[in-house]
Amino acid sequence: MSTSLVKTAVLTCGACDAPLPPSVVNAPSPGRCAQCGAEAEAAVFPAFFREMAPGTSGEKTLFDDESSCFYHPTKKAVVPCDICGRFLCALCDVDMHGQHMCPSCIDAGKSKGKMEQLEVERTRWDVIALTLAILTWIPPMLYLIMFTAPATLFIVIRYWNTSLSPVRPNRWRFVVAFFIAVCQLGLIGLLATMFVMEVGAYE
Amino acid sequence: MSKAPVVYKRKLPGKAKRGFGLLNATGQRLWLGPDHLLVINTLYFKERYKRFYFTDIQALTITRTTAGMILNVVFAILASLFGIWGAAAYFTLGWDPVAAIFLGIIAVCILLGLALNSLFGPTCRCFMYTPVHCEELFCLGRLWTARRVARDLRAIAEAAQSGTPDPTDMDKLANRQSSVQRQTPGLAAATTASRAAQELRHDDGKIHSSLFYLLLVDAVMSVSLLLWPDFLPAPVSMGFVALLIFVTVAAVIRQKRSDLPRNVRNVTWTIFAYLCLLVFFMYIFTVLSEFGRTLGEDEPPALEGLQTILVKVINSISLVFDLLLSFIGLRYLADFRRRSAAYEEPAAAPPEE
Ligand SMILES: [Zn+2]
Ligand SMILES: [Zn+2]
Ligand SMILES: [Zn+2]
Repeated sequence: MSTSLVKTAVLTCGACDAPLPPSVVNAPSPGRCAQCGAEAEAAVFPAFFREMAPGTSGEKTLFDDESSCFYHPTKKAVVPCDICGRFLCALCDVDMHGQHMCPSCIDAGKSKGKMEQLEVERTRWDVIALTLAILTWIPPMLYLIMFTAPATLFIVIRYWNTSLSPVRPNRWRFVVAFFIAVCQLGLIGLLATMFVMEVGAYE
Repeated sequence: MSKAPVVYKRKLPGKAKRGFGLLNATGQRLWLGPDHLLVINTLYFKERYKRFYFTDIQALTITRTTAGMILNVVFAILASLFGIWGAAAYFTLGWDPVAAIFLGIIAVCILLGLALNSLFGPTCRCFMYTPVHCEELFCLGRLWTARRVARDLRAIAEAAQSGTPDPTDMDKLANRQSSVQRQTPGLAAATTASRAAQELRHDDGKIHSSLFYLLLVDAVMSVSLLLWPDFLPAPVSMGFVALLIFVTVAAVIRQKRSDLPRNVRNVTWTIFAYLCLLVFFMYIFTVLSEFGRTLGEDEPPALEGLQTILVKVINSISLVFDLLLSFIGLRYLADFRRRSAAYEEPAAAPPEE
């Protein structure tokens, strides 16, 4: 996952962590790591050469093209938030048990669901609803249908307006889950009616 | 920061997962936004989002790994073991064909896995560098896909950062890369530096080496059981597997946040997967023999044959993997110990620019 600042100064081999030989950087064809011999290639962009030293008290950015803190556009970024990946200056970086966090991620821990762009985590209730609706067709779970069908309906109605994918914000999973749950309820109703009629006929 | 939702027009390919099976397998997807790359990490029903602006992407590296090849070797060994015992059951040992068919079906399934793994192509690791950190894009676990995505991302990043780096800058980078390389023969400076920054604990690998030696003991036991099936009572060998699992779990816990190299850690995880497989086959064997016992006199010869042959299969699997994994593990561990012994002195000297 995220590694520390020092690693970014040098391009390293993904297999053994040794520095990559310069011949593989922006080369037309892949080369080999000098230490482990793994086939390696690297592409470097102009942003790599923006000079940047770690500051301690929220250093001011000196050049326009330097990476700046997400919350303080004039301060130099020193570390990304481990949760949301936003760049933070030394002032905004909160070190919690070795994990770097930004103020908004700490805040999000207290109260959830705010602006979309600030959002770093979502529970996909539409996926949960559909999984629940489909799982109950598996034979051993079938007896649970009278609990799971209402639960599916509840989730669909309660979370209709939230928790959609940010990349494909549509509700087809909710719709399918809703129809499956309605069918399940219909099935329960049918069985109950048949049972009642049978008892009636027996009497 | 506007309130209008960002539209993500394109999804980049790449589906590799990280983590172990149903336990903690994390999925990852990459989406292109108007000015940033959205990285979605999914664990069960939770999605986590990281946004990387195109102007902040500094570099991409792709390194080919041997994971896919190792998986193919494992598949090949398993398939041939099942195939050999199935053929032996059918042609020479005079067991019931049911047993042979059962083993044959397993062999074919494993071969199918081998074919699929080969079809996906070689494996790799892909890293994205930003001014403040380095993110692994683990969904790009296959080389061909990673190269395709890297080509696209490169074009986008170069467009966002108006062009390619200056040749003078590239010379500087080349100097830095090769000077770091010269300064630290063997283990890289970057590794030591990041190890110090992440406060990794030094591990002498005692638990790991005892695990690898225990595997050798298990190999000896497997040979004995292959030659003399009644050499050890079943509870003893099952107890030994339980001990192996215990030591493996201890090693997995121990290697977390330690400076043990990746190859040693991977061997430990492979041993864990192998033991899970072994327990699965032992479980099937136990179920079959219990079932046979309830039948008593009526136990069909096919079932008896299947049990006998399953013992042979289990023992040959453990023999091959015990030897393979313990030798590889001990070799990597010896490499690591030699490197870290050679590394103690230069690390004590004050760093020079
Ligand atoms: Zn390497
Ligand atoms: Zn700040
Ligand atoms: Zn954050």
